[in-house]
Amino acid sequence: MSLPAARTRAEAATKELKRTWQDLLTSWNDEVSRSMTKTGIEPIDQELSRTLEAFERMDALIRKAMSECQEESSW
Amino acid sequence: MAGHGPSANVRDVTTLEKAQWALVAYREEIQQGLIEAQAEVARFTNWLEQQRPQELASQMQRTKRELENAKADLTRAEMMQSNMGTSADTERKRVQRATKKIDNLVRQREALKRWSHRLQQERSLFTAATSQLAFRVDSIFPSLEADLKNRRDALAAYLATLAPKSPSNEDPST
Repeated sequence: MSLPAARTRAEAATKELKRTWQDLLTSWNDEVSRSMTKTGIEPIDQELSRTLEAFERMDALIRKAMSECQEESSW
Repeated sequence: MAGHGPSANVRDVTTLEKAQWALVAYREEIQQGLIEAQAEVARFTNWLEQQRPQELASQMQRTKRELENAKADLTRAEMMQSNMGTSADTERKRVQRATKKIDNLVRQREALKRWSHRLQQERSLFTAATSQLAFRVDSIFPSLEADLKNRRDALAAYLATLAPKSPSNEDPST
């Protein structure tokens, strides 16, 4: 799997989790749900963002390095 | 919910199951994505540090031989040129092409060293940038999943204790 594909996969998984979690919260509103949302779900956005930036940066680096280190694609 | 304090108001075992499986699905998907991203980086590292240097070395060896042959042919062609007035342009172009190719291979070899050094730093940054999400799916989510499972099991057990009481709650007149 390429890094852009890994990025798409992670974004889709996060979108799905947030959608499912939001649905669950409509019928689940107690201390446990609030605590899990705060400690388990909410920090994901920032962590995912850092991860996706890293994927993007590494992908760009790989492309640039390959273009400088070979005439034709052999990788 | 039994054993989990008065604040818990979940009455539906299914809700807890859905929450648990949502976390499981996310964890598996992200773990797989991270593994594959790391594999991609490892594959590139291998190409940059092992495969490509070997390819370059053999290309360089081959091109040096081509250059030596082209130079020898050019020397012969130039001798014939002075003796018989024939052209040595083709041989000269072959020498130029081989020389240019070697220059290009040298540039690529230097680029390999440069990128190899940079890749070490970039891999560290990559690992650091992905570590928080990796920690979430490797450590935090399994703990939350276990917590949800325990709560679901406790709720199911509690509801099971209520079930046998149901007949006694029925209207005796029916």
